[in-house]
Amino acid sequence: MIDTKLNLPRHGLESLLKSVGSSADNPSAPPGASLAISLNAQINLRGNSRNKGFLSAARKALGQDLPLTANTFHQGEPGVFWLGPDEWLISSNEESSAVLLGRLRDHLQDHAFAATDVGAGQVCLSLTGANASDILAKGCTLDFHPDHFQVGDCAQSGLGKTSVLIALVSNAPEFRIMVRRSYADYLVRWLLHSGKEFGLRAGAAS
Amino acid sequence: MLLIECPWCGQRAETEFSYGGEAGITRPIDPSALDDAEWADYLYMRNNPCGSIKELWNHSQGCRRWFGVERDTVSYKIAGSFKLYAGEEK
Repeated sequence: MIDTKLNLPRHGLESLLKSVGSSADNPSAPPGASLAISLNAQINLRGNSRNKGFLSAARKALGQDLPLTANTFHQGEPGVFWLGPDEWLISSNEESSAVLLGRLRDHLQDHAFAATDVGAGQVCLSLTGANASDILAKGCTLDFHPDHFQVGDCAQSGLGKTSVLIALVSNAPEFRIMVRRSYADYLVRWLLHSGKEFGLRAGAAS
Repeated sequence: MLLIECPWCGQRAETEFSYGGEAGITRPIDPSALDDAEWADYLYMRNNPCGSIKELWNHSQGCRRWFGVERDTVSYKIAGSFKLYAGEEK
């Protein structure tokens, strides 16, 4: 099935969430955290961050600056995540990759750059709730204490046995987790299993 | 577990990195001018000091950049990390 707005294939993870996630130990207790899946158009952008012309052209294309501080991201539409000193992830749930790519190519054509559609290869998970950081801490070496990992911070690391990009988008707290599509089934199962003791429930897909 | 300082991401656990061997091995400009012994020396021979060594690491589960680390092979103490190219991006 194809999501028409973003032109992305929908995946079977929503039904996985429903079937595995509904088996909570104590269904009447308030959830300590919830897990949902969202579809995002995603573009990997590479370019020289010392080239002022490239940076200003990218700003025109995206409507905001590329984050130049390591492990931070700019919220907004589209969101822009720092992946490396010359590499960013652009993520949108409003516009399709084709539209974003077209705009990037129009603005950046005078500079050396690479823009690649990676949206169909990655899944965006949303982990929300008071116990969200405790669940992540079970499988990740990063420190998610609010004094250390704040809204606007993102980091690539390992979660369970997968490589992920984790970003804190609000103080709810709400974490976004980007993972390769082929690892998403494993990671969703891992999160639901690890989250059982913290009252993790499957949330509504958005 | 080692805590390795990535020049961009800061201190991260050793499991996020992959090892790249000794740093500072330069490929000969004209390999055809070398004899077999010199070529073998470039390809295979590495220092194996009992003490401080500069080595290459890749932050493979993070920003995926190569950088250098100065590490003591006896105490495993890491003296510091460095970028490999002058003027490399922040």
